[in-house]
Amino acid sequence: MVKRLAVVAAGTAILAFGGSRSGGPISAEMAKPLLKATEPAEICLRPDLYPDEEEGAWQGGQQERPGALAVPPDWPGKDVIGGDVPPVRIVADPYPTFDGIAVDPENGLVVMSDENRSGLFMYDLKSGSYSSKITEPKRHIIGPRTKLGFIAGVTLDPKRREAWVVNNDGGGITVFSYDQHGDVKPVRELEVPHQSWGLSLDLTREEIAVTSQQYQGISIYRRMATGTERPLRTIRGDDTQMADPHGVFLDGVNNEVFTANHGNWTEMRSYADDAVMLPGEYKPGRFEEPSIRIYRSTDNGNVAPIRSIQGKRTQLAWPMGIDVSRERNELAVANYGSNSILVFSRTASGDAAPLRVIGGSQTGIVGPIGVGYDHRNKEIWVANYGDHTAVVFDMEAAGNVRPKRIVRNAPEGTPTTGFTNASAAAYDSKRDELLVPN
Amino acid sequence: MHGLAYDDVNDEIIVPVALSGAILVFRGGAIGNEPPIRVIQGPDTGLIRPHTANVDPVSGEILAGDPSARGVLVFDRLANGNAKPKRVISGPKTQFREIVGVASDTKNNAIVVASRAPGGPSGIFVFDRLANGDVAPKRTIAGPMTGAIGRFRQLAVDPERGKIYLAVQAFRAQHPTPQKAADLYTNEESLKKLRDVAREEEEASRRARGGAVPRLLEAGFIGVWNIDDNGNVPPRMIIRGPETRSVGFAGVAFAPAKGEVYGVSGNLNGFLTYLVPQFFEKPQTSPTAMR
Repeated sequence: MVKRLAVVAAGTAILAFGGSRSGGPISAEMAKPLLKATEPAEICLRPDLYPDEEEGAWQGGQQERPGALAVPPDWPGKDVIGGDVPPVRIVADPYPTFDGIAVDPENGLVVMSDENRSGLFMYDLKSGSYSSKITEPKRHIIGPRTKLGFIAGVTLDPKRREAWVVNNDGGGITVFSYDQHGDVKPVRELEVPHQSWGLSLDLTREEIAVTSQQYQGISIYRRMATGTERPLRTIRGDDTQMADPHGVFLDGVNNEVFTANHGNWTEMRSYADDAVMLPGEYKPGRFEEPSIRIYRSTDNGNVAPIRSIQGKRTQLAWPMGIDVSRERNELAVANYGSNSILVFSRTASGDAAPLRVIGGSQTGIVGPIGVGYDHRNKEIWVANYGDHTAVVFDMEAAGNVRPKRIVRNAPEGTPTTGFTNASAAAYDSKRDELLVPN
Repeated sequence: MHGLAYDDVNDEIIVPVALSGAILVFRGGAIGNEPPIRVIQGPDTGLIRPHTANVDPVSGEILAGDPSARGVLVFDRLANGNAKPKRVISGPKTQFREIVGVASDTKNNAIVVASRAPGGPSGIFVFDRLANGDVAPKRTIAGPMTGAIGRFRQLAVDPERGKIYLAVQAFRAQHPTPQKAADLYTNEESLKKLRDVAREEEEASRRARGGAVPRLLEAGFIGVWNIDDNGNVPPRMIIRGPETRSVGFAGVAFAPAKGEVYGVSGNLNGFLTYLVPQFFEKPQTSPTAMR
């Protein structure tokens, strides 16, 4: 039996999997089609997926190749123990997951990012059913040319029919046309700081907002910014009270920008390059209550929010993606920590209770990361990371209600590992479990 | 999070939280929305952005590797709240840059640190276990023969057998990462560096298209060295190759009693288990005798 342990405290999640004889791990054969797009050198592939590779390439031969590393052809040597050892078990999720979401009623499209297999899915806005089978997307962008990695927030440009997505672990923002499909190059790219998460395009001001977790800020670029262009404005600093910002919504009409904060705060000091960056007074890290902070969209620098939603009554717990409905004067929050969607008045402030909550066992909301309004069809979409689904509700839905439709990226009942950028492990000898942090 | 440790003597889980400058300690059987039993955080801790942590139950110490503080901070295992570290290894002599792995080994009197930097010192740095302040490592396992030239992450030690395990993501140098700089949004110098990186990567890509370095040659691995190893030396044990089903590893752990090594693959977004009982055979002689 698979043991599954979720430790959740102060922005921390650990998944532990049972020992060697646990059921459920994915076989090596199942894992074979796994394809990841970011770093070619880390792609989990077998040699037969490298058709150009020469026989025996793993055995060295690097000295003969221009630009290759200066090690002997038989590196690491004949006496080395181990070598090309096949795994006895693989635990991974071969199916996509849904992460960020954005809805385009004008073009009848919903777009979701897949952090697990690094792809972008485009579905018809009417798609979904109660079928247990996988829902067919209109388009699926995936592969090494796409430069998609551990992607998070999504935003759409209905006018120009473009989808924007941001890499959370390096790689910046990439933009694709609605007509693109498969392993394709993005039409534009923009460098943004490491750990950028949320994206929101505002067509009234022709600007794009992006949040950075570690930088504790929102940066606003001109819509057509590319490469290493500077942002037009950056809201960042102690007075902003931002703490691990995720979802963002740029509302040019009301001159506001919203961001959802997990509540983790520490200083941003350079940690990767040669130069030691230790400017100014040392400020220790802290945990704060999660919050929604709202600023003027024209703000720049270290400015205080014009209002905040924070406190026990708000029910905020790991707020992820957000969406604002100007028509309904509402703010919807994908509240990962309570498997629910919280809907607030757009102008809510302080320790405000949500106007309504969609959550409960009937809703199928499990680990929600993204939420989006569809005003044309009077619906609200939710992207689940904790399940292989997106669920669609009436816009007025409240409480523990069944979704109208379900979009699946795996057959019904397929488990998820919950991994996001797995990169460490510890063995628990008492329970014969492996601990893996996210 | 890029780090995690389990204390099998005291049945506790140690978690570094880079985004809050904290070390959290949970009971081993913690589940769900359970609070930590201890939190090390505050102005006296010196923690800024701890990316990695480990525990030495023998000496009763928790170690935090903090790339922003450019140091290894050693706390009492039972430290709680705004606690001062017992020792801090930090300063130019240490050669620390981006610290991605740390472990303590009382039996072999060592603190072992994995630190990397684009164009700078990268490798495994071994210190006296009681090292404190700006001190040079006793030994350094670094250089092209190690294969750990920049793209590596979690480190673990096996004190019983005197082994150091390192998860290597790729057999190549680390690219400069100005996106991780403190002033990217505002400093033209950082942006210039970023443009230079983009240009270099484009040139590298052009070279690669000309058939320079096949990707498989750059594949990462799990490498194992003796704790007494020193210099530009290859690993003594390795998991690497097409049958491993991964071309790089970011995390590594092991269960000697089961003869298993676990490799965490960021690109697989999962982990793989290797049955390698030969990795856990006790050395017949001293760890250094073979080399």
